[in-house]
Amino acid sequence: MKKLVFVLLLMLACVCVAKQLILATTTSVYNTGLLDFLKPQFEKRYGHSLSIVAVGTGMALEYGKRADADILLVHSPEDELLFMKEGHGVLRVSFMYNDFVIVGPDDKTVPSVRTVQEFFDYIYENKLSFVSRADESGTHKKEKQIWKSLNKVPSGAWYIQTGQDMARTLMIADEKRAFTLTDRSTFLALKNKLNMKIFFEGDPQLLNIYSLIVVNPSKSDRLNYEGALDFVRFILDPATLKMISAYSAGETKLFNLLFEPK
Amino acid sequence: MSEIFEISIRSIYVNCTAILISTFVAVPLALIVDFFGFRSKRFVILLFQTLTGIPPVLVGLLVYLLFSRKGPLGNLGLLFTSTAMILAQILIAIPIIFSICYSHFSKIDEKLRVIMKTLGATGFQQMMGVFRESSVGVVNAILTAFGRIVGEVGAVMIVGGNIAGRTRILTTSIVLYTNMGRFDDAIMAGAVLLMIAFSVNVLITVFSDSMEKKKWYTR
Repeated sequence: MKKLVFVLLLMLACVCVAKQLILATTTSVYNTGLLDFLKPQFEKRYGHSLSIVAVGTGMALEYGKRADADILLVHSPEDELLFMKEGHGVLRVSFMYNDFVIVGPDDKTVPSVRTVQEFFDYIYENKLSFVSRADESGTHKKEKQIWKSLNKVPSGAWYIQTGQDMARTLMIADEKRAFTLTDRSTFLALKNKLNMKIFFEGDPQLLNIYSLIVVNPSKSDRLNYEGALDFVRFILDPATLKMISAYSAGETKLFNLLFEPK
Repeated sequence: MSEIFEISIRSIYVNCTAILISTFVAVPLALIVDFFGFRSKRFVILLFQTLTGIPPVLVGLLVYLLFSRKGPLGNLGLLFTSTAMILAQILIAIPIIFSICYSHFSKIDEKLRVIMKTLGATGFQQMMGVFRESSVGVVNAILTAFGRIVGEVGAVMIVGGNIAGRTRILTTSIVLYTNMGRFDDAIMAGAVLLMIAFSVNVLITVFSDSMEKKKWYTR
């Protein structure tokens, strides 16, 4: 009996002491519902209490720099590498991807092109309405990268900058009958509400790679480093990886793995 | 369904706590500023009136920087908690309640103050007299501030993080549902929010009517 009370007290103490684990994630992943689906399984297996904060990639990295989040799930490889180089993170694991697509009003026709540069060039030359996130998110960074590779600076009435998240940007593009660059999962989630279709996809440059970053524990002793490592272990577990690759919205799978689970 | 219930309860808790605390801070403050004449009085009033227009997102950002682990109060571990959300809403509500209350207090007939003084009322009694005389204005102030924070989303999104089961309230869930394409759920949450706002308005109005009947000259 005494033992039982002791064990119960110990468990209670564990619950009280158990620090919460804060995961700052990009909104595009959170909005698919994948993390809410994985959360209970992680909590059950590892005993951490997981809090998920959905923000843009820029903000998530800032959370990391300020030690406000223990682990990040982001999609902007160049910024991630800089983040690691500056010593803000101790471990970075790229594990899944989906892709960006160019969507536009479903009644428009454009000539078929081979590369994303040709498509952007066509938009630029014909001054077709184009909506940009303009919010330093992973998607916006990809868009800027493409314009840069064309050596063109988009400006003028046809180039609309929203400064809003992907869903609202898509709704604006829909209203303005404009083209925009979006991650596939957000577009699929909203597809039924929009009169838009995919115009361009499949260029390897449009790969959208997601990585986990464990924030450097030397930043603050309040960081939950152990929990962050456990979350990486959980994600890299073959069973979890299989769940991620099988996760779908309706008929379409949303994420692909960068490597095969054993 | 249980999800929206849980979110609604949290919404009520956050908004009502915030409005209660800001009322207990702002109304006495307005009474004191109204009662005492001091040199920078004009400036204080102008400052509060200006702050009524502060964008909630800015308040959110400031509270975030305050509670961030690298911030001055980072050790309290209050970031991404409902306490931080309440604090942000208090900062939004206080200037509104203060400004509206003050404008009502300052409009009180000077004769009343003189009479109270000649009858030997203490400073506190005079303040209470001014307060009773403008109770309708105070209720108006509280309702206006409540209307502002109940629909507020920018600040609570930043300091609360919209974490499921912890800091998700009705307004932030509306944003999330809209982004997920779950428009039905978003509208549902909006309807619940309006119902809560309506109930609170009714409660406060009924309360203020009963207070009105208890005024000294109607007895």
